[in-house]
Amino acid sequence: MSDMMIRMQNISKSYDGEKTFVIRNLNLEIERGEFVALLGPSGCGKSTTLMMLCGLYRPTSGRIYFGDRLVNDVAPKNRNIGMVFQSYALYPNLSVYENIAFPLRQVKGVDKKTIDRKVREVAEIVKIEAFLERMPAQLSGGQQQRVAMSRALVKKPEILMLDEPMSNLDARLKLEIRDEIKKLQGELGLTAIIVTHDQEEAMAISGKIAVMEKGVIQQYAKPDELYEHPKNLFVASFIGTPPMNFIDGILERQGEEYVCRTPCGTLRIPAQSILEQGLKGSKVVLGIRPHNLHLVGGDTENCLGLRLDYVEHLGKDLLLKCHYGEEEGVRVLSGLSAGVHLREAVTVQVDSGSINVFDKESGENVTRFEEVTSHGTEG
Amino acid sequence: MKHEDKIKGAWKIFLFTEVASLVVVIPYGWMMVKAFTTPEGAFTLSNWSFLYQETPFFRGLVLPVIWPSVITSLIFASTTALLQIGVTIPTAYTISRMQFRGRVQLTKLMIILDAFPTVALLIGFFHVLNTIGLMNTYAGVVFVKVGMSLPGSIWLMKGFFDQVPWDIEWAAMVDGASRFTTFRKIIIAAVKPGSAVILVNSFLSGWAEYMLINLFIYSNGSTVSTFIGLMLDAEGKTAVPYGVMAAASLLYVLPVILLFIVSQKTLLKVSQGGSKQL
Repeated sequence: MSDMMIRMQNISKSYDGEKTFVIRNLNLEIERGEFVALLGPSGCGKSTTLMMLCGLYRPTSGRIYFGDRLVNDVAPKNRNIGMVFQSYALYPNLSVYENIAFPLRQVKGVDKKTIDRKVREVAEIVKIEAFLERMPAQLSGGQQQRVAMSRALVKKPEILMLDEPMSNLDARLKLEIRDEIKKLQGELGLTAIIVTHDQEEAMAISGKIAVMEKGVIQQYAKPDELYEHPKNLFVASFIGTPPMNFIDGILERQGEEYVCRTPCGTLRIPAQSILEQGLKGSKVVLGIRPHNLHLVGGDTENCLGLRLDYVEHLGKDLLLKCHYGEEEGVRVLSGLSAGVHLREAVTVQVDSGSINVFDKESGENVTRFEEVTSHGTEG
Repeated sequence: MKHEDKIKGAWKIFLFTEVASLVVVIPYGWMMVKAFTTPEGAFTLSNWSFLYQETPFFRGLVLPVIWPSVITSLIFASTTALLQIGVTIPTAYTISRMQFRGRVQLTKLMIILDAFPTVALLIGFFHVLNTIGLMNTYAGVVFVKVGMSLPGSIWLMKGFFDQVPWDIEWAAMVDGASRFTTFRKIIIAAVKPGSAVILVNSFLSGWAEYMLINLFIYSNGSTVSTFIGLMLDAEGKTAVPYGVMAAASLLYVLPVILLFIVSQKTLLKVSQGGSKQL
């Protein structure tokens, strides 16, 4: 436990006297200097988790450690944290300067000169020196966001908490601020936690992601691992744009391989790449990323027969929206020179080894991966 | 919408509004004209004699100089306003922000109490003031007045506090400010328009108070409202020319107009600019 910055142990949170729980038995460990995202749809408990780390909510049960210090009963101001709220929560009656100086003014015995130096220092880092005399209402959303950042950083906290800090910004500004936050975090050596519902943002900014649903961490892993080896159907469907394709199938063992019959074709999967003990029955769901499907001319091995509905231009690629059966959609990523026609049949080949097999009943991934590098603990 | 795109038939609405507002405008115009004319219709300033000397009128009425009444009215109205806001703000904040037993019941009680007419409780007030020895004192009238209007103003102010996002309070908490510091430095400023409404309204209502003062203060004509009341005799007939009454009434509405000119900017402004709400 040498360099663990934050440890959440068996955390549960209930707002209604333990009738229902928003967070159930959550365990999470964050290393010093790590950038972790809490990712999930709205209502999954990610904000509640952050609020508990800040000390604004008390966990109903469980323990939170910062380093070796139990902080369950420590007030937010004594946790050495900085926080950026989704609404920025700037003080509307104070100038930008006073907003940033506010945290310093709450500490006894900090003289004016020190405050002034620190405010200007952090304003320069976040690039808002020019706006110090303005009122928050006179700033654009991006500038307000920067003020909120500098207010969070002015006391040089160890941990930076970000609650959906970019959800009010337009797409281009989002990218810019995202890069800057990432850069700042690295330069200042901060441990940072970001709450977001945007999987792209989480993948881009953080070193590790905790995917949450219904108050439970579904998977806590590095972005590439989440993408390549999602632990269950929820994580698989939540991570990646365009999203993963899911095709129902019946799995049957035939000697050294499994044969999977789907409504649009039969796929063969080597026996050693399936964790047999995970299978509850023969019904499975195959998860295949759009870029692992390739248009082919004739019917060869591991092919699926689809019908093309329409084509979306992504700039460098084409996204082909196809279907099989009644309305079951499948997305295929292809080069610009696909040479396909709308409403015609297409055949796609599946990259061998790229298929994630999920048990239909439990939703768990039953694929065996070569290098299973599971980090952290799951809830 | 462009200026040209006028709503069809808008003139009907305008006509209606103009006619309806005449009901208010005509008496005011009449008052202004009367205040500066003799009963025969000639221009005069003699109606304003109460500004500088005692003046005898009909049926034995001697009208005193008005200034002591003006000062009493000002003190009465300001005290009412300050006490009102002083009690309203912390109470409303508590009801809006804190969790305590009976919070919901208290809020409901506020609405019911707000609907109670003062007149229904006059005899009760008389007994209470008599018992605690505040009969014939302005302190007693202020208590009754503020007490009766508190439920309404607390209810109104609670709404303003409810509008202040929790995020701001949380941010201040993370920044190391105590609950009280946050309240004093941030929250109060955020509800400034609400406080202004209550301050102005209770001042005006104190300035306009007639019934309670007339009932619970034994001396006559001690405030501007009761000063004007002096001009009516026991049968309700005027004991002064209309012009004098109009002049006094004009003086009576002047502070109201001044106060509105001064405070309208604050009243209209709602500043929540520091936080984007979704």
